[in-house]
Amino acid sequence: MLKPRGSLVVATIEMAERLGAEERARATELGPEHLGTGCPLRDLVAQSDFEVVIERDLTDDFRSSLLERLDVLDQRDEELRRAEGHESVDVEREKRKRMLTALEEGLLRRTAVVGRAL
Amino acid sequence: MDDLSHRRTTIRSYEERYLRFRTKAGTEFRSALGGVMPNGWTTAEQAEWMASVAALSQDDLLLDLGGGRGWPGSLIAQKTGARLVSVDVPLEALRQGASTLREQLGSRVLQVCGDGRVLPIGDAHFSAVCQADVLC
Repeated sequence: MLKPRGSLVVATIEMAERLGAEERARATELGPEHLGTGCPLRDLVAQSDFEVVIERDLTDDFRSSLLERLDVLDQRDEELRRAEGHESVDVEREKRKRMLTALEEGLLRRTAVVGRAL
Repeated sequence: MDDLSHRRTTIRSYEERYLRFRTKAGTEFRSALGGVMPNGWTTAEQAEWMASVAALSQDDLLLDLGGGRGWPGSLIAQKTGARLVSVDVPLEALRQGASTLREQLGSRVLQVCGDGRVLPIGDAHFSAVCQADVLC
């Protein structure tokens, strides 16, 4: 569906590179659903008949966004619990804390890749 | 669980993500985070960067796969002048993004509820495809 030399711009959370089997299992446990197999995004893009022209590491921004989300959750904890219920708030906090732990352990990163269709 | 049941369960779980934090307090929480909940991590700076590298102009058509409420495809289309087709599976996500997308892009946007892998679109249709944190 993409024109020849068309652009692909994709960003995703993925496993850090060069992880062992145990680390990959822990990344899967702590990371988002559907984290993938550990094949780097740039390789997936290249395997899909694209020339990878840019790869950008967005991990620091991702860490900042997670910290901000947890901070706002803390600030609004009481009103959110009243309005949304305990489970919703607890699930959100736990999910983001797990991702932050994974970042701190060097198991996850967030990456953007720009490709051109071959 | 058969394949159809599995797909239904998956779609329902995506829909449910978009039904969380819809109370007044939840909406304020999402607004404090730039409105990108539940699963968006693309900052405004990153979306602007995507627009700058997408090599698009007003003659082009951009496909946002897994576009949810429309971010970041909406900003890329705004910055480049391209027309946008935003595709996602959860209808709720499209509903929530519809009015904002229409305000931002007018008739230059089309939302499609469906699986981006099986769109009934021919070859060489889009000048660019963007995809951010799909399934994350």
